[in-house]
Amino acid sequence: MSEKKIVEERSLILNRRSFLGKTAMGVGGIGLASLLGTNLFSKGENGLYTADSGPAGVKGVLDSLHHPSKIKRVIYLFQSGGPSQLELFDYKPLLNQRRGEDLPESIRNGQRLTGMTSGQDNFPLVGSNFGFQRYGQNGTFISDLLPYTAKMVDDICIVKSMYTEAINHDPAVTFFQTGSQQPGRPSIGSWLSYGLGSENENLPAFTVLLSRGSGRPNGQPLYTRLWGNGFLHSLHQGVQFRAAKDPVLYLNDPKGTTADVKRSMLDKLAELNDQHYQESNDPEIQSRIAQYEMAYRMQTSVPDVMNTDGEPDYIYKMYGSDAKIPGTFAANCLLARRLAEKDVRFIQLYHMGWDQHDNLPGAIQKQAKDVDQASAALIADLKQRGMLEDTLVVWGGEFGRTNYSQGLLTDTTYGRDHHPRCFTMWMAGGGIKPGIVYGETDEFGYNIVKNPVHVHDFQATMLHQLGIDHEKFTYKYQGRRFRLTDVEGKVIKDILT
Amino acid sequence: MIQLGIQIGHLHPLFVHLPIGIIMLAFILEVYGRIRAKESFSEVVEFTLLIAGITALLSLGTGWLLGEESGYDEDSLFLHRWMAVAFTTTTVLLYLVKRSKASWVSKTYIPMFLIVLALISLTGHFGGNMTHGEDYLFIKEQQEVVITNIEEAQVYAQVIQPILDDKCVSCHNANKAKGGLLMNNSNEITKGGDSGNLFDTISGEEQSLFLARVHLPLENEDHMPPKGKVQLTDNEKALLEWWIENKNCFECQVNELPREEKMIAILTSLEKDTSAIAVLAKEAQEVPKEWIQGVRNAGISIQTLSGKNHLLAVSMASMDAITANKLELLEEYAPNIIEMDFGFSNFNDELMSGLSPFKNLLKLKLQHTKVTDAITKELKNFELLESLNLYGTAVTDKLILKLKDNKKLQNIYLWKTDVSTDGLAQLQEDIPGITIQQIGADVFEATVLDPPTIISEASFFTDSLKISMESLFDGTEVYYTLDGTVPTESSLKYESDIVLTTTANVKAIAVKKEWEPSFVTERTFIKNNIAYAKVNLLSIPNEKYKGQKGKTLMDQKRGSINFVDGNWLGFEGKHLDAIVELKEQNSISKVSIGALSAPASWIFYPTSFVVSVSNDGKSFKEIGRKNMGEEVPNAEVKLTFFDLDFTPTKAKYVKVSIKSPLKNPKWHTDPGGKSWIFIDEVVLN
Repeated sequence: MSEKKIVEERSLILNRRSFLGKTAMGVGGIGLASLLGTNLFSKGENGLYTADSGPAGVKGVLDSLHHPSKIKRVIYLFQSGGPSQLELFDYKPLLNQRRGEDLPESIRNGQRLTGMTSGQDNFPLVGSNFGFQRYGQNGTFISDLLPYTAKMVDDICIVKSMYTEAINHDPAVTFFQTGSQQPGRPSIGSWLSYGLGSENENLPAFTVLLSRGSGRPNGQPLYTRLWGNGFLHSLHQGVQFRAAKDPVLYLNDPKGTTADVKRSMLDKLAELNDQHYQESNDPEIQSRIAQYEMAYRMQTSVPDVMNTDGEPDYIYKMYGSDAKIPGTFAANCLLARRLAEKDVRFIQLYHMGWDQHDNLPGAIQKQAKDVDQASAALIADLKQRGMLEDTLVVWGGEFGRTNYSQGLLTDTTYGRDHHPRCFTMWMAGGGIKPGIVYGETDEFGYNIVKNPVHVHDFQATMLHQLGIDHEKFTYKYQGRRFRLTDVEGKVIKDILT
Repeated sequence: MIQLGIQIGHLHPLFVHLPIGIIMLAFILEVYGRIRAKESFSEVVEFTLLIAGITALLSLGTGWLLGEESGYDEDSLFLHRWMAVAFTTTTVLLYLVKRSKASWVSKTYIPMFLIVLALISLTGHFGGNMTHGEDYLFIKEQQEVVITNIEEAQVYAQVIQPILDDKCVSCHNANKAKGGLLMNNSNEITKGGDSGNLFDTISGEEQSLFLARVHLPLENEDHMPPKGKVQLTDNEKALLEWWIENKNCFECQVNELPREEKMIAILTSLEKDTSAIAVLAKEAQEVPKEWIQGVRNAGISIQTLSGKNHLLAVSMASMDAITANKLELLEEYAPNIIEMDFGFSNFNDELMSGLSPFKNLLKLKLQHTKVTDAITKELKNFELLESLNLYGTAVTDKLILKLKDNKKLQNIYLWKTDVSTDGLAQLQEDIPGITIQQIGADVFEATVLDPPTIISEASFFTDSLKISMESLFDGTEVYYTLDGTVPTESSLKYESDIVLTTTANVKAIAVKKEWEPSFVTERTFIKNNIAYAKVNLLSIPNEKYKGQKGKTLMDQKRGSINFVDGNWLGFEGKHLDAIVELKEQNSISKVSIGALSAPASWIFYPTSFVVSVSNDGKSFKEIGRKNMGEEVPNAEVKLTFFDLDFTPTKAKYVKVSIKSPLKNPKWHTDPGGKSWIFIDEVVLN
C-alpha cells in the first residue's frame, strides 16, 4: 500500500472524528449507534491514542472486557522452524514398526508437499529414534528428549491436533502471529496492546526476546514485522529486548546529557510536535510523542528488568546454567518471568532452529536440550510465585513435521519435511485444564482424527482467556473491520476449566 | 354445526377485552362527571354502558361456543361461563337503571356499578387462568432446577421436565388438558392423550408421536407447540430427541446414557455457574466510573471484571506507600472487591486490619510482604477466600494450622516461607480440597553445569599462547588437561592463565557444589611457525565461496559450520591444488588441512590429499599421501583437520593436492550429483 494511500486513510479517520466531535449530527450519530447496540462511534472507533489518557503508558481501546478474564498476561514460547511432534509428544509406535515402508496414499490423500520433498521417489515412514515413557497422573507419553517437561506434565495441557493452512515458514509464522498468511496485519501482542493497553507505565505492553537454537544455528531468520503493529498505531509494535549491552537499541542518552537537559529537550520537542499535530492531525505524531516519553521512562525500567544479578543460585538451578548466558532461550525464559512480574502483558519469545530437514536426530537432541529445562522451569517458577493462575504460557511452532523421511534414512539419521496437517503445542496456566491431552492423530501421525484445533481457534481461545470476544474485537481499516481471527475461529471450550 | 360454532367461538379473544375496557371507561367518566359536576357526562356514560352491554353479549356468545371445544377444565369453565352470564346480565340491567328516571331506581345505580366491576374482574380472572394457566398471574415461587454437574443430573427430572414445564404445560395441565393430554408429570406423560401414546411410533413414520408433532412444519395445525406459542429451541428439540431415542428413561442419570460430542456440548450448556464469583457478580451493584477514576488517581490499579460484571480486582503490588487511608478509599464498594494484590509492597500486619470490610475477597496476594502469623485472626474474616498467596513471607505453621475455617481455600502459595512439611501435611488434612502450589524439591535437582569457556585470542600461534578459562557462576572450580585425556576433579585445577608453547588439545570441566559436573569442553591450539610468502591457487574456487582466495588457506582463521562465513573456499565438482611459497626454506614434517562436511548441502570431506615439495617451484616431489576414503552415510554438519606426518623435509615450495569425491555418493538423496569440498586452512609444521 502506497504511502499516499495511508495518508488518505488517516485523513478519513480524522475527518470523521472531527465531524463527530464538532457537529450536533455527530452527537446524534453516537446516540443512534448506542440505540442500535453497536459500539461504532464511541471513543473514535479505532481507538486513537489521545493525550488525555495521560502518562500511564498506553490506554487500551476497550473500555471494559467482554467477559471476566482468566489471565492477565501471556508468555508465548514460539518454537520457530516447526518442531517435530513425532520426536517430542505424539508417540507413534507404528512408524517404528513400518520404518522404511512407503507412506500409503490412502493416508497422504493428495496432501500438498513442499518443493523440498515433492521430488522424492518415495516417502519412507520413519518413527522416532527416541523413546517415550508415560508420565504424570494420566500417564501421558512424553519423549525422552524432554525429561523436565515430562516432570511438569500434570501442569500442562497438550494439544496434539493443531493444524494450519500454511506449509512454509514465513507464511506459517505470520499466520500464527497475525491471523493471516500475508504480511501486513498486527501481531497478537500489538492487538492486545491496542485493546488492553499497558499495565506498567514504564514498560511496553508487548516485548520480544529472540534466541538461536543449537539444533540448527543458521536456520531461517525472523523478521521484525512478525511483531509489527500492522495497521495499528506504531505505539503498539513489539519492542525487542536484545541480549547485549543495550537491550533496547538507541535508548541511552549520548554522553554528557544530564537528566535535566534530557527532560527539557523532551518537553520542548513535545511542544513542537504538538504544534505540528494541530496543523496536520496526523495521529502518528502523537504516537511519536508517547514513544519519546516511554523511551525516557524505559531508560531506568529496562536495565532494572534485564539485570539478573540478584537472581539466586537456586533459580539458575531451575532454569539451567544456560540461563546465565544472555541470549539463550533459558536466559530469555528467566527474563520472561521478570517481565511478567512487571505486568508486561504479552511476552513473546522466539527460539529458532527447529527446521530439521536432515540429520534430525542429532539436531533435535541439542534443540530439545535448549528449551526443555527452561520451559519447565518457567512453569514451575510462575506456579510457586502464584503467577501461573493468571498467566497463560504457550509452547509451540508454526507447523509440524512429516511422518516420512526427507533425504537420507539410515539407522541413525533421517530428516522430516514441513507438515501442516497436524502438530503439537502445549499450554499451561490460567483457566487451562492442567494435565490433559486434547485431540488425537491417526496411528501414522499424519491426519487428525479427533478434535482438530485450527490456528484461529487457538487465537480465539487466547483472546477468550484474556476476557476478549474475538468476534467483537475489531479495527476498521480500508473500509473493512479486521479481526485477529479474520472471519473464523472458535474458542476451544473443552480445554478450559 | 358444532364445528362452525367453535369457529365463531375462536373470535372470543377478539371481543373479550372490549367490555372490560369499556366498563372501566364508563366508570371513570361517571366519577369524573360527578366530581366536576358536569351534567353532560351522564349521557355519555349512558351511551358507553350501551356499548359495554352489546360487547358483553358478543363476548358471552362467542365464549359459550368456544367452551364447547374440549380440553378445558370443567370446573374452571363452569365458573367462567356462569360468571360471564351474571356479568352480562347485570351490565344490561345497569344500562337500564341509568336510563331510568325513577329515583328509587337511581339509588341502586352505584352499588350495581360496583357489582358489575367485581363481576368483570372475576370473570376476566377465571378466563385468564384458563388460557395462561393458574400460575400465570401469581407466579409460584418456582423451584428453579440448578444443575451444577450435568454428568450426575437426572435426565427426566432435571433436564426434560423443565423444558416441558416451560413450553408445554401451559396448555397441557390439569386445568386445560388440550387434546386430553397432560404433561406435568411422568405418569400423565406416559398415559398419553386423545391421539395416543406419545412414545409409540406412528405408522408410516420413523418417529414417535411426540417427535412427529414437534417436527411438523410450523404451519401445520398439529405442530407443537402451536404457531404463536413460544417454540422449542434447537437445543431443546435435540435434548428431547436424545431422551426419547434412549427409551425416554424416567429414572436415568445423564452419564448413564450414551452421548455424542454435540450432545455433550448441549448438555454442558445447561450447567449453572454456582461459583462464588458468579454468585457475587449477580449481587454486585454497578460502580460509577468516576469512583473508579478517583481510585486510580490515588495510584491504585483497579479493574472491573468485565462490561457486565461489576466485581472489582484491585492491585497495589510493588507500591511502597500503602496506608490505611488508601484502603479506606476502597471501602465504599468493598462488597464488589474480590481480588487484592499487595505483592512486593509495604503491606504489613497493621494494614491487615484495614481489610476487614472486604468480606467478599476470593483472592488475596500477600507475597513478599512483611506480614507474619499475626494476620491469622483477620484471615478468618474472608470466608469465601479461594486463593491465598503468602510466598516469601515470614509465616509459619502457626498460621497454617489456623486456616481450618477458610474452608473454601483452593490454592495456597507457601514457597519460601517457614512452614514445615508437617504443617503442609496438616493443612492438606484440614482442607481436603486445597492445592498447595509447590514444586517437588527433586524436579530440578540434577541440573548440569555449563562447561567452562576456553578463551584465547587465536587458535594458531607461532611461539607461545596465553589461554584463560571462564565459568558462569561464582564458586565454580575448573579442571583441565593439555594432553587430550578426559579431565576429572583430580586433574590440574585452573587458577590463572595457562601459557601454551606447543600444539595442545585443551580439555576442561566445571564443578560446583550441588550441581552436576559439566560436560567436557575442548579446543585445539596449533603451533605454526613457518612463515609463507604467498599461496598460488591452481584451482579456481566457486565465485560464491572464494574468501580471500589463497590467503584464506593460510590466514589462521578457522571457518565455522556456517559455510558462507567467508573463511571457507568451496569447490564444486573439482579438486583443489595449491602451492604455498615459503618465505625461506624450512624443514617440514606435518601438513594439516581443515575441511567441512555437510551432506545435506552436498558438501563432503575430501577423499585424500597429497603433499609434494620443491625448492624451485617447478619440479615437485611427492613426500606423502593421506587417504580418507568415502564418507559413511550421515547427514551431520561437521568440520575437522586431516593430518599427514612425514619425515622432516626441507622445502621452499609446498604443494597440496586435495581430492574431491567429485560426485555425491550412492547413499545421498541425489546420487551422482556434483559434490563440493570446502577447505578453510592448510597448516604446515
